[in-house]
Amino acid sequence: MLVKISSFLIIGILLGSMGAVALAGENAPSNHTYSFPTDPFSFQQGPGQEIANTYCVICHSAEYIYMQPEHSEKKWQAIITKMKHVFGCPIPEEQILSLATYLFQQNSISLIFPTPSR
Amino acid sequence: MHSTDGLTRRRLLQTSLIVGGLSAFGLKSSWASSPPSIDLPFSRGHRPLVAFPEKRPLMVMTTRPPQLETPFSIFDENIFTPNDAFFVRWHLANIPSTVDLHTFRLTIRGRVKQTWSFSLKDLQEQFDPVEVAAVCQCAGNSRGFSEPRVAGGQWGHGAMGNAQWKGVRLRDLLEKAGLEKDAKHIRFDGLDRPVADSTPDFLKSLSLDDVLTDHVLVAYEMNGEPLPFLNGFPLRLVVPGWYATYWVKMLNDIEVLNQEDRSFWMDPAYRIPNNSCGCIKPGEKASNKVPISTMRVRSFITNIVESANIRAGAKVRISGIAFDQGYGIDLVLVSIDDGQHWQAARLGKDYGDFSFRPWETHVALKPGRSYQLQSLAINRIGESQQREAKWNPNGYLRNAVDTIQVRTVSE
Repeated sequence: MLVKISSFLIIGILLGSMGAVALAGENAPSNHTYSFPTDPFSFQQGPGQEIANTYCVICHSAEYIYMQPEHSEKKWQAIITKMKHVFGCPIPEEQILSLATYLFQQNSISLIFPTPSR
Repeated sequence: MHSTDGLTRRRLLQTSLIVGGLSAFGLKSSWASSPPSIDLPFSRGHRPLVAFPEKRPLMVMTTRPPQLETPFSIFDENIFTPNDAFFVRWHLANIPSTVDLHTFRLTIRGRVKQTWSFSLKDLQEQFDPVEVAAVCQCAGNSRGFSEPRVAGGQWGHGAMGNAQWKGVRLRDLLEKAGLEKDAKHIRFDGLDRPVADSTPDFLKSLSLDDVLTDHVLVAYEMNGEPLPFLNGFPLRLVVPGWYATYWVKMLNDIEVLNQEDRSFWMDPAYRIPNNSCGCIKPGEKASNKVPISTMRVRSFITNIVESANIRAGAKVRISGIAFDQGYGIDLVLVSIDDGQHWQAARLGKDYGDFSFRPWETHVALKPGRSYQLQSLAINRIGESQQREAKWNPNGYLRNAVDTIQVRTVSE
């Protein structure tokens, strides 16, 4: 399953990088193509960074964590558990606690978002 | 804007130099060329302003999937939110990067006499075009102001917009297909898909009673233009009066069901406590929940921003917008003393019951003082904004009266 997801992401990145919005002419906009910006930054250094960069970013950019209000470590554990059991995140059960600790620490960093690259 | 000075606008668009913060995270110094940003007044409220394709610079909450907030100054400048400034919210990141109108079809199937597939051209040529002015507001608009804070997208007040929508009546499409006798609910799907197969696809549904109205549209135009890609090109469900979660984007599938839809985004997601306020006390658990539905009445002061220094005077203008779930706005009250005294504002042009309604009033402000400005809207069935914010664990339905602190300077 992971292999499948990674190849999908790569295809997505390739498609996304295939240049500007190709609106097929103003008169006949029959084929509407959109160039999605890529993630502006990845997870920051710290124990557990690899887990976040493996699983969280499958479905969403790292911004999802840094924009959250200050959640307790227990709340992060509940969020990750929801991601696994409700949204189908393939994170192994035994890595949930380590990831919760990492996200709790990251969430306490007052990160100033860089501008997304295009 | 004449009675306020340039400070108010400049305050809103606080650009920030981020040179100091960057090196700590090992990010490249090329980032440091002071990208413009807006700081929402809650922790983690820093939002860079970035122009995605087809959009002007908007407040980026997340890039993938895109969640972009409209800077609040836009609402002072426009009753109809420009397409390139309209907020964006997707749930799933697997959004197609191309929509080919040669092959795109909207299918109607399920408990119907005949399955149909329509191209965009079919819809434009075979059905009467209908227009409606309507506010599209995220269920979690203003969630960042919840206290205690709750998880979810941390929006300020800009996850809303007002547009003139044009399309075909959903009712006309259902009539063409012919409903079976046991038809009860209609489920909507768009072209967006989850990244992982195990994530529930984004499906929303409405009861037959809710959609057999004049106003529920399958829209192909927004403010006289095709829908922007991020707002659901080429088709979007428009459900005036209802929260935006039902306004399915890139709509390509309509399924008529003979029972209530229990799929994930209807149950348990997007549910509110089953009581009149849709609220509970922090720490409590709601014993019974129902799907979120229509919007609560709201108003905003748009021409004066928090912490502004404004010019004192005998006739200082305060103006803004109000809206509700479609009964229409009856009254907007304005206070300058934290709600101790209220005066009625004059309502502006009426663009329809589902639209933003402009309003304005004038107040006397003395120099060198602090004032607490508030607006409070009441709709035509007597529903009023909340003086005190109600709370629920998802940060939905917020319609509390906001307070804007200002100081006055000499005339």
